[in-house]
Amino acid sequence: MYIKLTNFQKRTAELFLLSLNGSKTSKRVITTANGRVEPESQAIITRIPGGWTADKKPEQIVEALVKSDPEIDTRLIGKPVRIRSLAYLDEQRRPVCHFRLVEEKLTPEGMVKETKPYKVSESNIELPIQLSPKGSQTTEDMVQKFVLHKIFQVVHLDSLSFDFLFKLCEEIRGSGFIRVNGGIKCNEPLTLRREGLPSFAYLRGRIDGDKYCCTLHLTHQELRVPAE
Amino acid sequence: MAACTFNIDNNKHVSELQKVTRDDLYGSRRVQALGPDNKPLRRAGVPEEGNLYLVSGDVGRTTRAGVQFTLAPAEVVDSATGQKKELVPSSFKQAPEFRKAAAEEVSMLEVASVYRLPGAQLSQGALYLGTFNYRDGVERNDAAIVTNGHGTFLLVGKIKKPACVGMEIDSQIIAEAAAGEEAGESAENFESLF
Repeated sequence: MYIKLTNFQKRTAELFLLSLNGSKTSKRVITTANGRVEPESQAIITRIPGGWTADKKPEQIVEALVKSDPEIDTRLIGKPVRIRSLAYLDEQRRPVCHFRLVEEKLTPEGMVKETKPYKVSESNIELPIQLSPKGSQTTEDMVQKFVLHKIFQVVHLDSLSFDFLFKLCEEIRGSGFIRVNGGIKCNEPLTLRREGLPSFAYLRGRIDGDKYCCTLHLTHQELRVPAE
Repeated sequence: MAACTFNIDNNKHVSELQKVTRDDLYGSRRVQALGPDNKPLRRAGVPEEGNLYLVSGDVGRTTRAGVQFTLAPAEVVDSATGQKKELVPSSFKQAPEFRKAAAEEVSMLEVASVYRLPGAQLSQGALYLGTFNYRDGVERNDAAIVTNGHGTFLLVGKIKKPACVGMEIDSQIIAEAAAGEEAGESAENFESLF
């Protein structure tokens, strides 16, 4: 994904965030009469929607089971399905047209702390993200305090952005992890994608001859134990 | 949770693993649909025919090989050579080895799971790197053991090895990149991330 990064001199360059996930080295295969085939997962109906026991008394259920196999509807059970859309059902399994979405915040113990109308969190990296003079971490502090859940490599797009990144890495290489903020006021954690979790972001740079290596490290968890 | 033996710098340490998640630390959130009477509604999927409402439990998954369904076991092979891959045993069966590491190396670990090791007796600030597989699998996971003021933790994930880039490498790297990728200050309030 593309980002715009503003350095300490308030200059901005467009750069690219490169995921460091390698391609998979293995795959699953099943040997069939036609040779080795990669299996696919297929959704099938395994239960009669609504349940065949609905509104039946226990005696009626017993009687139906003795007489036949009412739980196995051969037109439905085992039928491959592809879900196309989403609906909300009431207690009687009727679709409801008028509904509202709410977001509930739960405490670590599972208690509802706050309820508010659901609002989609938007990505905040369309605007330039900025290096912050505050909040830098040494490498030792970084690994002792935080859980780094995602690492991107920051790469240039053209010769101008190469110069920008090379110079930036030269500038920050001895400083450990430099805090990067987003948002209009550049004081927010980064949200890389729509409906994504905000994460605190840190930039690290190093130089090797005429090459640079710039990485963006994201964290949304401290390395500590839950409160008792 | 079962105890696991770790060979850390040629010393055996036995500890049980206690998983630590974001939800345990900061709580969680959930989105709920409410009907006109403020009663919670149930989410359902509508298949392409549009004649059914399928809720959780109505649908199961089966395996298809080509056009036929199958119960045959799948084997894992190397994508490049097609050779059968050896299973990496669970670390509960084979004690993982850890060596002392620098903070630089540990900082390149992209963490997927965090466990607390209450039984490990390590000095504060000590950092170790090794591998850890909770279950048998085909890929070995990297792991780090970090001790700080809150205790000793096992971080499991993958070590990333970004290469230095020069002027000659530009848009070619970007073209290969996967399309969609997911995505603090020291006194940051992590609760504010919700």
